[in-house]
Amino acid sequence: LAWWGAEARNKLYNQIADLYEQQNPHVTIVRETAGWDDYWIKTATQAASANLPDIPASVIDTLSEYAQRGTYLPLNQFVESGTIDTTGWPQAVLDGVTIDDKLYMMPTGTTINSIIVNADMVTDAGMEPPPFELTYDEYRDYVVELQSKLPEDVWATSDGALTWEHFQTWILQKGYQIANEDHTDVGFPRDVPIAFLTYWQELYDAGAVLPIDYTVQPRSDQWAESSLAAGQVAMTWQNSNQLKIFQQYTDGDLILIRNPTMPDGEHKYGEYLRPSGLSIAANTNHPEEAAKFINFFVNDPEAIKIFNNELGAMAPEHAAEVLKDIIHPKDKLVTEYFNTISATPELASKMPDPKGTPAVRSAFLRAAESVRYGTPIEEAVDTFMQEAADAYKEASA
Amino acid sequence: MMDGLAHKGRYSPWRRFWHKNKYAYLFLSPWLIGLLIWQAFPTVWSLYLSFTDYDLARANWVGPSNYTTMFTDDRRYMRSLSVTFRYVFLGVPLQLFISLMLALILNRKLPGIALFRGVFYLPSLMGGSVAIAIMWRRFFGIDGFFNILLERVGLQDGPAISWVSNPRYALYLLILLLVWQFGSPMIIFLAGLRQIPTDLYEAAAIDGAGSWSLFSRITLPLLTPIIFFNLIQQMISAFQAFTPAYIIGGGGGGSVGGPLDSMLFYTLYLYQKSFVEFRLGYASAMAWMLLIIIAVFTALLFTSSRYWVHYGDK
Repeated sequence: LAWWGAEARNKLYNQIADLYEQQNPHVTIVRETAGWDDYWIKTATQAASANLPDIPASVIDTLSEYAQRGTYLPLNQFVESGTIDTTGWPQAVLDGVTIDDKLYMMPTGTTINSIIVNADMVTDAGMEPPPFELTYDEYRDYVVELQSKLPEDVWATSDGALTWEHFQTWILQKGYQIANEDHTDVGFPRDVPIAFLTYWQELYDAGAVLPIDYTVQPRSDQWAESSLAAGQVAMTWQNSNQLKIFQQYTDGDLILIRNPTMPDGEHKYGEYLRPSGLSIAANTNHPEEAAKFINFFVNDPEAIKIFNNELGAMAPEHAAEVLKDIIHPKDKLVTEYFNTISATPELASKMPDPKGTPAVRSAFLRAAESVRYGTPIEEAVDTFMQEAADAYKEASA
Repeated sequence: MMDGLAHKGRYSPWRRFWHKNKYAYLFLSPWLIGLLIWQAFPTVWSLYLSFTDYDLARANWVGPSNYTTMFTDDRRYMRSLSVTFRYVFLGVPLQLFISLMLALILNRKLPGIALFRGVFYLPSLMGGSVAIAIMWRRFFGIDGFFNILLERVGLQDGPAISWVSNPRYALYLLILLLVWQFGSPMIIFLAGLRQIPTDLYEAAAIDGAGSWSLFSRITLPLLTPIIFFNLIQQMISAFQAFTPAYIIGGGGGGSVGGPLDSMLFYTLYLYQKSFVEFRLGYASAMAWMLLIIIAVFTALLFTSSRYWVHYGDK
């Protein structure tokens, strides 16, 4: 069993593993842990040498990278044999981690892209907190008005153009996918990123967006040193499960609103679920035992109580009942947010990121950044489209 | 006599070699086996991988195409080369110049000089470390000490900028960080200065040499082997620099290399290719190319050393 995380999270994983060992004395769980970056370096090298731990923690961002390279074991056989019980699991959650018709992860928590708003800061500026749902036009008007009421050196919003999840949402709303069907090329035309960057350029030029020098400012702690915690922005484009952590470092009550809606788009809504969870390594010698432990982790009420939405909303229906008395108030908001979004009927569905996507992501962020430093949008987008097409072509060759 | 030769001829040279050296190799074996398994084998393997498109799942032979792609079809690679070259060829000479100057000062016999030597060495103990990289970016960050200083002195015009992450200045701050780690070449220079026999200075002084000619005719020529050594040492380590750019340039939009790839060191791009994009075949080729680049520059230095390095015995 291996996972990423810091001290507080390690304790939760250890408690669950201890509990399982207690109930199954014939099983000993060897544990490995590391911070996020180191965890993925370690995982990459372990995968390269077919040396992965039996149960590596996995995340949607890199799921295809590993699954399509044959390093994770498909879990379908365990679901069919009943070793892993998926009763009461929303189909949308399982679909999100199914690649080429195979299930590769049991999610331990699901997060969704959202906007975290410092409600008190907005009220202090003399405005109502934004409603849960705004169109892109309404969002722009709101942000610009808010900016005019904020004190100096405070901005209405963080830079959404430099938020990869937001760009993906925009692509979905326009009716496209990140890649084409067979993953050999990007799945959207160039006017999609152009429209996206133009929308944000307008907000940036209006002075309502955190200036680039602040955005690229390196931070050692992405929460404690965030511009939200520093009181430099009134809202930030972030994943919903981070709400509780941001709240710890931020003065003022934080709330969640969804990404702006696109009534004239192909899909009005475009948020997507981003599960983290546990997978089984293809090189394991104990697939059956590994599957049993995963089932325990994601379904057992005691285990759910211990993990308590650590990585975002927990999926099985009975989780809500189990957690009802011990859930953190901010996590309650996160769970409600999860329920609302995943139950939205007009929500666009998103293909899991195919192999090559990390390179596309990095190309996009560099392009968006270069726009902030004065590169014309069209030029930046041309570079991005080229690099992204190359990345998918290379990965699928 | 004849007998002895005939006797020897019955064994193959290999067996003779083995007979003579077997105990030596036996005792060497723990280290030797380790070397083969942990160093030689991976090295050869990575050379093989550099000719494949290895990405964990596949490893098809692609010939030298990884090597040609670098120079023909990878703008970021060329970018990383240019960043690294600027870092090495601006940073290292500056660093050596500063450390030589300080060594000359600290070589004087002044009260408390030992303490100063220790203090001046401190930055090098920490320079390559994560903590210093973090401190550095705090210092030159947008709300960092440097900006506050500028404001106090009244030199700040226009909106505050984050020096560490502004594409125009970021690389120069990394060079400054390198220069600031002058300690270890400085110590080596100091040791070199101590080696110069004092009677040379005395003799020259009697002949009426001024302090400039003492320096340029005695100190500098006799120090050239040390300068040469430091140059090679620092050049190689600068080519391989990773931590400062990784820590300082790691912010921004979530991609390595800092804004507009202004801090995209060679090693950083290598890291991106291998652990973010999993293009391990390509990354292996990059690693071998770095080895070749370093080897070429080291060879150039060695060739040139004939013309400017003076060893005392010649």
